Amino acid sequence: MKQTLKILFIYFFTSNVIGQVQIKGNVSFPPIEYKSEKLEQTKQNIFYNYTYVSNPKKTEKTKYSLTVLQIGQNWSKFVDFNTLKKDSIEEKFSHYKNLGVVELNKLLAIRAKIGFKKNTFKELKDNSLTFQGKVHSTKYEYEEKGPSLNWQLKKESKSILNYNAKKATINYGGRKWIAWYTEEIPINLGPYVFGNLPGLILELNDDKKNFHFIAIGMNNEQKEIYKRVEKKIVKTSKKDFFKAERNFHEKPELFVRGTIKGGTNFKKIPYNPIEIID
Amino acid sequence: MKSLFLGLTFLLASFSSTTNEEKTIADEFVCSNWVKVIVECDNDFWLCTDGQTMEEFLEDATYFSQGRC
Repeated sequence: MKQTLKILFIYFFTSNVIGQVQIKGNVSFPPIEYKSEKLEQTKQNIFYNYTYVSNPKKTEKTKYSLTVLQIGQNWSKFVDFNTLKKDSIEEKFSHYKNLGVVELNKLLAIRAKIGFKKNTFKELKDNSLTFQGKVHSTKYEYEEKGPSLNWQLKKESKSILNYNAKKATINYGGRKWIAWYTEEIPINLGPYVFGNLPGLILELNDDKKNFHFIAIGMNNEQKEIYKRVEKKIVKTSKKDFFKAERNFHEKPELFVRGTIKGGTNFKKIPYNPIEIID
Repeated sequence: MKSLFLGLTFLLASFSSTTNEEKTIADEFVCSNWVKVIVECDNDFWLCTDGQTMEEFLEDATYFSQGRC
């Protein structure tokens, strides 16, 4: 309980504070359809503070969010903590007759706080991965065989959360990654796709410090590991998902359908993907 | 000959004027419901909800609010 309070305390002070966007006026949309598939209960939850650079040309500007690695018997899920909150809000709103300004403002606020946008599911028996993500308003899902992660184990060590953590490095997804893992927790998992080390990854960053995950706490609370089931989800490949994501950032006019009063001026969005895929 | 030239010039000017006027009317976007999107730095804007799903509307509001402050 004390540990959970500590995590929540850190969360409130490090959550990704983006300029608040709100709407005003008459608006009404039909409720959200919410369906999810329960995979299992968690045995352990590892909380990581996530720091990232969204604009590769302004590396001094970092953003923060809280991510969580949920570990069960057969599955693990790596997700932004605010995605779990968003899903909970969307489930509640799915029972409403109509969604108006109040509900839309709640959704806008929670969406703005999501820093890590890919939900990563790992089937532990064969390390196969399923990802759920979004490009503008289209939801995508793609699968990937567990990547072969051949780490180079190093001699250096340091203490993280009072665990002895050892260093390992790897080139993956066009970036050089540095992990600190502990053999004191013999779980071969970590943030995002990373794992396959002789212990839990407690810290992970790329050498350019564009992405940094550090464990800030863990607990054994039983939570549901679920996967959203979407009627309109587009099943795609990893390559095509990253291509669509890049296209949206570079040519948003192909995705954005809305019109703003006084003329629409489309601006590119800086793109800094966690994996560089051509 | 002179009057023919003047006549042609007038006719061309009329055509040109009509085309511009039509273009202005065609460019005017008609929306039945504008919603105000408020961003922190007072650089607010209005977004049309016509024909949009909630998901599209929320994503568009987020997209257009970026880089305004």
